[in-house]
Amino acid sequence: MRTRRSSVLVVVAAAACLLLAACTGASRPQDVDVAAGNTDGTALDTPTDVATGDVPVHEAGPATPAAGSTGGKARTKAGTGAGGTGGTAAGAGTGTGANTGTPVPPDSGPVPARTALFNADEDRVGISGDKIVLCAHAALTYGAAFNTGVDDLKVYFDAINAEQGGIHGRKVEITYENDNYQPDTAVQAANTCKARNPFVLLGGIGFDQIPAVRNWAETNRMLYLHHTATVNGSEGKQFSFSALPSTERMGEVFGELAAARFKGKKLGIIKRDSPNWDPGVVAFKRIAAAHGIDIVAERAVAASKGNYLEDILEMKNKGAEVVWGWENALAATEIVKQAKAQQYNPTWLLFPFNLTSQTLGDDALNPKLVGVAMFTAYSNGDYSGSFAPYAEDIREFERQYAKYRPSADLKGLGGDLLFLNWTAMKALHLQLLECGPDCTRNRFIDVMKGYNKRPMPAACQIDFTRGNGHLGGWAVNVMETYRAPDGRVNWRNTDSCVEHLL
Amino acid sequence: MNDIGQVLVLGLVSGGIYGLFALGIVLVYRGTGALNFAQGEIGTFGLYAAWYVDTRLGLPWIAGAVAAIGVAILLGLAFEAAIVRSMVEASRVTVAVATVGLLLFLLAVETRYFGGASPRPIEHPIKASGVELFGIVVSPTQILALVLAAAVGVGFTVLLRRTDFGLGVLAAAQDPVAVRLVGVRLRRVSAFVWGAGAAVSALGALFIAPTVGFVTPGYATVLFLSGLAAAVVGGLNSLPGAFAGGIVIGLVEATTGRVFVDSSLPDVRFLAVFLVILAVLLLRPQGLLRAIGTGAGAKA
Repeated sequence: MRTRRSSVLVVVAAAACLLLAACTGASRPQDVDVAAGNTDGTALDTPTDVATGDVPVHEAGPATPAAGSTGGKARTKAGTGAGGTGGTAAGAGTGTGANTGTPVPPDSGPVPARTALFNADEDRVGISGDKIVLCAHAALTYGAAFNTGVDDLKVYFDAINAEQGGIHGRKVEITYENDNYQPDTAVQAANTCKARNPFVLLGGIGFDQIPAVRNWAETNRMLYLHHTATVNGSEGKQFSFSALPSTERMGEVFGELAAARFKGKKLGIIKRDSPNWDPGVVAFKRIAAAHGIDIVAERAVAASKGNYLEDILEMKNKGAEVVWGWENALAATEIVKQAKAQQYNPTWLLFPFNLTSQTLGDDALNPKLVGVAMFTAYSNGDYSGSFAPYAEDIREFERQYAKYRPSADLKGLGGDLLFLNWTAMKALHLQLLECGPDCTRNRFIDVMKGYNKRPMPAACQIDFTRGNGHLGGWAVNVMETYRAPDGRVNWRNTDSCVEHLL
Repeated sequence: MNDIGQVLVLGLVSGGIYGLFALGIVLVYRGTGALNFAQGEIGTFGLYAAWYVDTRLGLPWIAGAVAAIGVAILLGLAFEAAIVRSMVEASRVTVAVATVGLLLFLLAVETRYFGGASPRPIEHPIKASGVELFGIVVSPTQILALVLAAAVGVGFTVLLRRTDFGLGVLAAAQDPVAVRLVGVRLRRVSAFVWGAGAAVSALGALFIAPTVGFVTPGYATVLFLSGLAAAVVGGLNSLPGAFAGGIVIGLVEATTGRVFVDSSLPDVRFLAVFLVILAVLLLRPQGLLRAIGTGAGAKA
């Protein structure tokens, strides 16, 4: 009798212990999973995840995520990709968790990747014990317009290689191929990159180039991390990712900006005549219609049209008080310049590049130009006001350039372009750190797909856990022109990392 | 009324520039019997010289303009000496093909040495504010371009019709061998034609560039196409016709752009221009202002 009772007690106690263990666990799986980049909800037990100090997303991120936003209308403080350069590398735009650059090596063996997109032969292309190979396609052909060259774009990884020995002991080797701002030459550039066996192909700015290269990447099984592009045609694409808002998203926010600040005014649109730009216009018009914006004129212009007189006259004749210039910085600069020559001074809504503001000079202040961007503002030497939340990043950027590329023109036409390229490279660096010493392409995709954090102050929240896991950018920066302390006319943020303005 | 006025203004402004390019085309054609497909790009190359002098050397616009015209003339003379002179017995089509080679060469040089496709800013020669006509502000540069086109047209017409040298130029295109037999120095005639044609191209490029604001490789070749259309419409043998043809093409483009403002057809203006060319070639192939006769006594 006594033995039977003891046995029953042992069984009951064992059952109770098991039940207790099941209910408590080490932590809530979904918190750790989200922070460390897992998406399937399983509990994590990898030393890498624990060692990098990943924490639930609401505690992650750099020192001043909230301070980075200034607008009171934002629904969220999510972040854009830190990538997206004017003519260079893509929105890699991610980073490690709370830390912004100090990895802790794992103390046990690698965990198999959950993604199985690449086979064993493909998984380690471009990454070896001592090197990571990156290759980017970009519109180098327009570099001179921004007073930048290829060597100006490589500074971040030059600094990391020199000062930190690379990423997990691997030196980063990055090359750039000229896509000539054309889809066909972008594919040629991608092919040239492929011959270098890169770990990842980076896609620079180009609404028209990226869809073409995205298709190519799918056929060629190339991991592709790209700048903003339309989501049209991306359905089912497994190899392409972007940490930046889509073309549609950009159009949507421009629409919200128009509705929020210029409701009641007649609006005109000068847009690029391209099926890859049109989705932004569709999104804009949807918002416009919902908020009663009166679009009085709309003109489609060919790329590099040059003479916009007739388009400007159309806006002027129809009395447009606000004009949305849905074109690249070079064209936008000419459009505004030619409008000024016609003594036509609407409020312009543009992509905000210092090239435009500095070229126009005082004309960019009367009235102020207004812009929406997937990157943040930069004005050399200005660390105050809306620049203060990410002044640390600005200073690091300027320090690196002073040391490794003192000839770079940070004050001039391309300073902001170099800064946004630098933030993209830094974010990519942080993401590769998170991938760990045994990083492979599949593991890198694991990192991206579960990514939901703000990598650094100069970047906005990146969240790949929304949508299909291939798009991580949802927030943008709203900017206006201003006179910088050095006298030049640059851009500054008025609303940082916002998803909505209404 | 405002629409009509604006169309007229736009047509005249762009027509003046097309007329300048057409003058260069007709001059070379009248003097050599060949079409110079590099006519526009010679102008672009001259513009890069102007940009370099103005922007990089910091010199005033006029210095850049002199450089542009000088470089263009040298280019024309060099091409004539190196290529055209050796083709005096060749067909005119062969010479035209050679000019395509010059066009491609210039594009490559501009892309390689002047910063790729990056636009280079070009300033106005006259920075004063313009005159407003029917809601369009016409800059002093544009007015000057129109006046210049007319003046150049008249000047060359007088030269070719009223001077022995000019008559020799006209005769050389008809029969280079016979011209030499009567003592006309063919080399001098040929050099003049190619040099003058290049200079006119540079002038045209100089005066349109400030309106657009920048120069890129291939920039003036696009204008050359409109200039060629103007030359065909006005008559490839007629210098006054070239100017008139320029105005016609300018008006056609402006009218089409205004009438079909909401059209989804891309570049409907170019379509209209080509339709005009087709109509002229079918109905009046000698052009609107045909030259009288085709012999040495033909009017320019």
